[in-house]
Amino acid sequence: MLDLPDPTQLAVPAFVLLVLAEIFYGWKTGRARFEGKDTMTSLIMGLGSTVSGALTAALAIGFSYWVWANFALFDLGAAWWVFVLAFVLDDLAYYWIHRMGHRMRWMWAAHVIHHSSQHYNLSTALRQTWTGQFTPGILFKMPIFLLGVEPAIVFFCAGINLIYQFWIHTEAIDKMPRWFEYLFNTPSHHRVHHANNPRYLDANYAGVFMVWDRMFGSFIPEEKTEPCRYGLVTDLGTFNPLRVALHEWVGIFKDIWHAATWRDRMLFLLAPPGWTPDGSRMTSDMIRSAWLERNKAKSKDPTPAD
Amino acid sequence: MDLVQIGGSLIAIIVLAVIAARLFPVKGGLTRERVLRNVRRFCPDIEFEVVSAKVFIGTKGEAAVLLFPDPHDGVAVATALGDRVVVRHIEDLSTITASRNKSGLTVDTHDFTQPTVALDLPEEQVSDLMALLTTEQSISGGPLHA
Repeated sequence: MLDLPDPTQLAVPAFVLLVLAEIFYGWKTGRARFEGKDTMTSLIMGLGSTVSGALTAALAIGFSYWVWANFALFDLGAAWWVFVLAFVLDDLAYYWIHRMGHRMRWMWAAHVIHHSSQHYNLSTALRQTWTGQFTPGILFKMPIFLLGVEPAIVFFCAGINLIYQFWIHTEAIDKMPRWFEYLFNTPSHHRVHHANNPRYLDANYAGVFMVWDRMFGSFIPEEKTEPCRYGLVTDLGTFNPLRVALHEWVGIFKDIWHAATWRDRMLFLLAPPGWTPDGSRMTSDMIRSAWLERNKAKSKDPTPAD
Repeated sequence: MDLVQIGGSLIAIIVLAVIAARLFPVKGGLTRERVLRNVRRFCPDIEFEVVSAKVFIGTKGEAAVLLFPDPHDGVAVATALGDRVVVRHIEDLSTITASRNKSGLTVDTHDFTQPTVALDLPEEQVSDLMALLTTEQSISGGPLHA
């Protein structure tokens, strides 16, 4: 087994210093906003995520090595180009894990934590799940192991990918150069991803390479005319880390408990967040459709709503 | 991750949060305008005249209850969470419990993501709000009081 460092662990001191720098920068310039309890919650979620990740890492690593050792088609070794290949393929896998993290309630239950802050700053980047290992996300990386990339290389690349995604959680940077915005995930693209404006829902899932969103039709650019508003469609009314970590799991459990049929029980896990058998709640698709309808009605009737 | 790392991380977290709280103090609680703006955002499909909406705001601006002019639309509960506002729309009042407390009113939405909401209100406003909620409850059905 290849012995590679965990890049995210090594980056933690830099994360702390950069959050501190953004706090002072925001205080001086007004270009970043923080709130004490929100920051505390985000950072506690980050610490909890590291601890829970360490406790459950053996599951994911063991399963991945079992697949790689028994079913890999090739032995690609550990040459430099394998790292490059692994990074690109892992980023593609990340795109689909992330997309399913928004489109399948089971995976959303873990990922929702990252979106639960109404602020968008570097501390939000650290607001991470405690329950990621209890979702089927790892399955999306199986093709990479089957191709013959050793899991340690894939996990190393995933760590680099996460570190990349840290700096894009900021309002302090407006836009990067056009070529960079085209190729890579940036603060502007990721602000859209964290926004709960109907226009921006379920967009920009990329980790590093924006090409995946452009390729699979999920890219939405940030519009100057519509500033991003951050958080969930229904925001949390608490800073309690346990409630933040577990609220969607509790919701799923309640729904499954009260469900009338096995089909409904399954769909409460596998359908998009907001799905109900009677349509009494709204999925992001329904929210966007309603928004489009309202806009259509407004454009027919020039009288402003207020 | 060992205990030293966890302890060090906790200290760093507290230091960062305290600095953030000092440099970005939360100013002002809920106002009628702020409640209305956020309720409109959260309930875009409910059209109502601003002047017709009854809004009860806690004296510290910590929470508010808005009664929509049409009782069938139910109520909205707004809470100040740090410097942001969280809104819940309750169409069926039988799903919530409202009760008097020492300094006002407690609304329990029985929602894991929105713990009990307490409003500091003068006695006459508590009576008014309880009466209005009871009237609306008779329209939406089900028990309201604890």
